Amino acid sequence: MSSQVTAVVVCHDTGDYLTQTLQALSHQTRPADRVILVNTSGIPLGHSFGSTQTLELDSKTTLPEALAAATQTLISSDTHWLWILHDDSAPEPQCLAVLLETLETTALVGAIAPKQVDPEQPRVIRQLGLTLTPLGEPLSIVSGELDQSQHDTMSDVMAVSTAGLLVRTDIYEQLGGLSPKAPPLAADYDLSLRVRLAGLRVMVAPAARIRHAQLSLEGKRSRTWLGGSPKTAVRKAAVHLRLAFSPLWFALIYWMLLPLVTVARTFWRLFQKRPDRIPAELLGGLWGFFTVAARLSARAGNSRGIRAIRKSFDAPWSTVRAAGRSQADLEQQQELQQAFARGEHELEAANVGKSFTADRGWLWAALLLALSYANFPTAVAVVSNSVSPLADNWWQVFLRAGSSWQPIGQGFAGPADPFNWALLALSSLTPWAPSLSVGVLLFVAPALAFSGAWRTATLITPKTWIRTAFGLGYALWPWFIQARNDASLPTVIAAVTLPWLVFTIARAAGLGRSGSARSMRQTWSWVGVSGLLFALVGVSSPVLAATALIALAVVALTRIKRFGYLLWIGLPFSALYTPLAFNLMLTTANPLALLTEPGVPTSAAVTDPSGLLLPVHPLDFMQYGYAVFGLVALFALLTKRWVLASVMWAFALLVVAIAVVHWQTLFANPGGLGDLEWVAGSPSTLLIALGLVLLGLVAIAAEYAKPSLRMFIGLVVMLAAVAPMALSAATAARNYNFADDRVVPWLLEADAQIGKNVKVLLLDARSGEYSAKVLPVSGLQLEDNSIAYRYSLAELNRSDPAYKSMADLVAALVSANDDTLAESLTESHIAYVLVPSAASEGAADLINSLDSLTELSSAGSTEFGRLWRVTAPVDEALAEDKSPWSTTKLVQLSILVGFILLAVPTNGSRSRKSKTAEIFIENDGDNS
Amino acid sequence: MIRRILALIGVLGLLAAGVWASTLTLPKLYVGGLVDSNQIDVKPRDLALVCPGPVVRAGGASGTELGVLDRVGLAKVQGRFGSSVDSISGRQVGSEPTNLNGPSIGFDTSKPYVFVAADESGQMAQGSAMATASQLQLVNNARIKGLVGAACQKPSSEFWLVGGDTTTGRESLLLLTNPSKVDATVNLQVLSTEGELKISGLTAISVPHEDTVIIPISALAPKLSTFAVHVQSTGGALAGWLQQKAVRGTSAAGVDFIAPVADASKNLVIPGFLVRGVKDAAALKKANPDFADLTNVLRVTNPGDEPAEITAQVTGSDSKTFGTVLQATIEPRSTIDLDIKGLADGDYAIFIESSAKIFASAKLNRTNKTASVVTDFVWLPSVSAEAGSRVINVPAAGISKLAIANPTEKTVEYSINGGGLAANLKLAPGALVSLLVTGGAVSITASDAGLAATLIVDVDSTIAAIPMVEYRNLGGLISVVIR
Repeated sequence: MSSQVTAVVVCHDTGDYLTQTLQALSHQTRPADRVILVNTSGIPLGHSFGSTQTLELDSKTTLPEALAAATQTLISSDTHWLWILHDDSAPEPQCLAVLLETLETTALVGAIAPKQVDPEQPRVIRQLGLTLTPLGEPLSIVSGELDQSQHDTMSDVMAVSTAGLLVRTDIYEQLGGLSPKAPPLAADYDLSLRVRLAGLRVMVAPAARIRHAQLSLEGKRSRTWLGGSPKTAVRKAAVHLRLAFSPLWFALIYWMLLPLVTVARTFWRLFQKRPDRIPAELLGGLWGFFTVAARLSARAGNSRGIRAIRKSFDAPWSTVRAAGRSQADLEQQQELQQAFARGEHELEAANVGKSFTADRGWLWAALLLALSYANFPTAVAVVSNSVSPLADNWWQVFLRAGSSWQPIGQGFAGPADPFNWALLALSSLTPWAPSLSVGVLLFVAPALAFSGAWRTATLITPKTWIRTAFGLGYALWPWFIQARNDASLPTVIAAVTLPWLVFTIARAAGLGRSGSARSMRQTWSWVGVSGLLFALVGVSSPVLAATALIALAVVALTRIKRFGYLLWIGLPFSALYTPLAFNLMLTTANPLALLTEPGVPTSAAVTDPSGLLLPVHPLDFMQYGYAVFGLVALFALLTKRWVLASVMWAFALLVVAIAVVHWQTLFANPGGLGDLEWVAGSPSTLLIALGLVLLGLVAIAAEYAKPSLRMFIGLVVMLAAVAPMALSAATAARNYNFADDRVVPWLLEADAQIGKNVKVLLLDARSGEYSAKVLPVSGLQLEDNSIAYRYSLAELNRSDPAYKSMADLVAALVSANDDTLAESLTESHIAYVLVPSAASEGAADLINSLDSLTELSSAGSTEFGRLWRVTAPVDEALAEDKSPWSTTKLVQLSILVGFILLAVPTNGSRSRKSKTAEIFIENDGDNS
Repeated sequence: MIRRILALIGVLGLLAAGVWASTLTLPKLYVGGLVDSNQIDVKPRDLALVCPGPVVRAGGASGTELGVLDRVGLAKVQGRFGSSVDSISGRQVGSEPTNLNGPSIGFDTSKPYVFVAADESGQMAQGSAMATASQLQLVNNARIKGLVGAACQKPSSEFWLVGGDTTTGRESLLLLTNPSKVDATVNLQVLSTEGELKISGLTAISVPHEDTVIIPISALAPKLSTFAVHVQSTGGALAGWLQQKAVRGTSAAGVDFIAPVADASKNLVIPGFLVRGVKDAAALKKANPDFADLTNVLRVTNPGDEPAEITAQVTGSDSKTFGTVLQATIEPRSTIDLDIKGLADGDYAIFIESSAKIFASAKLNRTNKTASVVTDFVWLPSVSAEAGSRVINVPAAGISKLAIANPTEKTVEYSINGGGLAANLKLAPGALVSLLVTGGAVSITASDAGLAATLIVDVDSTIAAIPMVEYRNLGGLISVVIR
């Protein structure tokens, strides 16, 4: 008995594809017995297509509804087949005939589908059956492969797409057609699995071919058709299949864990350098979590049957990996072709010079380490006016980063300094002794700066000597060496990071001689590194971050095609800085407060602006080598890159202008004593950035100069600039000491070690005023500095009752004439009183008072000042019920982890380089 | 190429504009605000004053008993208390206190004595107008001879004693009294011309509460002609003096209590340098080398880490007493003596300017060989200039002169009452005056610039000095900032 076929063409977009499909349908060697065209485009077709019956439906009609409308009048039988075609799926002339031939020779077939090929490249297979990964993800068994008949032996599959699907009408009716509860891309899985559960086979007929444009999956249809973007639709399909076709217990657990699974998959996508898929992951996860009732109601109910089907047809991991590689290669091919079209392949052939190792860069780095011999750490911690030790364990540093509760003063609810994240990163280098990392950094800082600057120079020149001079000039830049010798940690971190930041942004933006990242994954990797480095620079020097943002904006505007990537570079910094920015705006209502430098406030002498460009030691003439760089940089304006040089000079002058304004800004520091009550903005980081720009100009001048002039520039730079600066750096005095990492006397440290939760009152007497600070017995470490607290002190002293009562206690101690003093001390959990500036003027009376108190007993002079112990027993304070975790911290940490994953090179992104040429060979093959 | 040159000119123009702009004075931008300190009115602790007690004799009556340190005679203690003082108590150190009736109190004591003046309301400003006390003792025996005076001190945990001599025939004893209820541990630092002495026995000296400890500097650092002693205590606060004694051959030749000097400063003043018997001293020095130390000296200590360049101007009170100028550089952490020569008899004050903070005192000799040879000396401490109302007790014995100096740069108007005087006077900057006063309380009320004063007492050509010092405990309105 011959089969009867009714073809249903579901049309959602009218146009060429529909015409081609209908023409292809009419050219079948075995024509369909009846053709029904269902138009859901919302635009009436206006003309008839031969004997085709046309149904006009609303544009909101879904595929299941359209098919239901078309099959309403069909007579179901086991010899009557429904051939479902999409408007973008044109069957080749033999398609239906081959499908029916296959049916004649095969028993118990419920659904059969042809091989889907690319309409533009018919030799490329787009789909040949569907399956699931072991984790339940939808997977096209074959995709993007050249059709060399290698898959023509395939027959039974788990599922097939509805495009070109030939399904028996009786079983179709029995199963109720496509499930309206399933999301669009899961509906074909759903139908196929139910056909199989009904005891029939689902097959592919590789000899039957259909040219499927896959408009939906390529995002060429309106989003309403798939209920979102193609990626979101794929994810929704995966979630639906997991909930609908897994055992119930597993489905419920999966649903409960779906938020966590979504977060994990989000990070995984970052690691894959596919942040473009994150919205789909989030939307799909949320959709699945909140529509669980609909998913569960769509369950087939035959778990054992489903398990058996999956056991037979799930793709093995090898297939999953192969499919992943195939997909990645396909994407890479497309990206490389786009890069080729942009002409970026030419950079690969350009002379980019030797590598750092081949250039003997390590030799210069070692020389810089030798010049830093005086900075070699001889003890765990660095101690100076501008830096104090970190906590003695890494976890404590971690707790302070991003926290919203600070154990300073009377306890302070406010954002932690974003700089704490930089301290956390730094201390992670030596987690067993966090403070050691500071000393190590100060020692290796010039070498690190050299290697970073050397990398930056590769953007401009392939010549070894120019790169080396660039690197040495930066590593020996007077303000950088001074910051290192002053242990100005934020400045050093910003200075060491800055050249790397410039290099990575250039790579992400596709700027510079060393070429750009061509694949999306490589670009995202550079964006990840840039984001982290920008955050590091920004939290260390907000004023430099503001200046860098201007530069980044210029780069983004000139590389507008990369804007979508460059936009994300500022995200980690924004995440880290926004809480503090909000706090500062509320506290000070002054945007300049955002430029407050982190770390220990140090006084910077403010003189007239003419002193700005003089070194700290103006009589050290060896430091004036930087001026030679400035003079040589002018020659860059006479080279063929004069436009670039002009822009760089304009930026250099802008940097100086910002430095002047910052230098003239005085930031309140109510916790500071004497001269430190107002702290001037330090121009150091900006002057170091100026150095990088000037060195870039010098490199341009040297690179594009005539050979004879280039030699002259080389001699001048090395003899008149680098050599004197090296001599000056080698003989510069170190203004910090190495010590153990205690910040309190041993007596207190011992209490801290046993976890005693008591307080220390730090008392100072200056200029007729007494100032006091309450500390935990372990003292305050570097990570306890808080800009928010600094600006909140005025208000706290004015209105906080705890501060008022502490002031009363201090007055009682000073006057030594309060009968309730012991009570007040124990109530405040103060077990020690420390006068750090015992030798200062005005402290004598204070010490006399404290000495005269029977409530205190002198514990002698310590390296931290005069110490008294409270004689009465002091109860320990209850542990503060303040979680070190907060929403802010979680968000910040998530973004940082995300960017770290984005930055980490993956196999996929690393393998690109070696496969660069293969793409074009493949194309050649195709073209031939 | 023209465009490149134009770009170069443009950049050079901008650089020139920047150089010009750098000469401008730019306004400062201020971000945030400072803390308004909490003003807290607190009642100061009761004011305690400790008098050193009679002079100490080493070696017992015979002078040969090793380790024996005993007191000789009685010291005349005088106290004067303000009318608003609610109660006055006094005790010999180690004894129970007794209530005393003011405002003026005078008696003899055989031990260090402690006065405590209480102002229950806490409203009265502390200082000499509230409570002042001094002691005087004329000693005349075979081994100690001279007039000893001292202003009674408020105990402190740190002070400097600039003076003393441990060469042959000279004896320095450090008297430390702890009137508190807490034991004190003392560390001493001795700065000589050669720098800080590194000798044992200077640290961890225990001074029990309600007790006096006498430390023979002569034994710890013998044959030292020039030094200063830095006393630092932990625990109870101390009062301290350096008892300096001189013997020429077998004759006692003067004794004094060297009092703590004013805080280190770059500008110091030593009032009361009343030179007498210059000719007698010259004759004695010429006749007998034993009298060589009759030269007056200025002693300066530099406690800091940088050299101090000083200029000391010895200024006379009138045109007949032409002074002198001394200049020297003092190495860090060392002490030097500068001989003050060529002065005629007259009233002088010493004004010192220094490049670094220093301490200073001056040794003033008094010689008279009219009837028999009498020599005595006194170490005059530098004293701080104070404004407001101040009071000092003038002993009834001998001749007392209140030497007042104006170290400020403004003319100070002041009034003086008591001791036979009642006048409104003026003192020009850098000027001095010596006023003869009789027994009783003398008050000086100066304008805000402040005056420095020392009372010089002369009894039969022996001499003592009682510096006018303001002691006060912290109290009143206290500014506190919680950081």
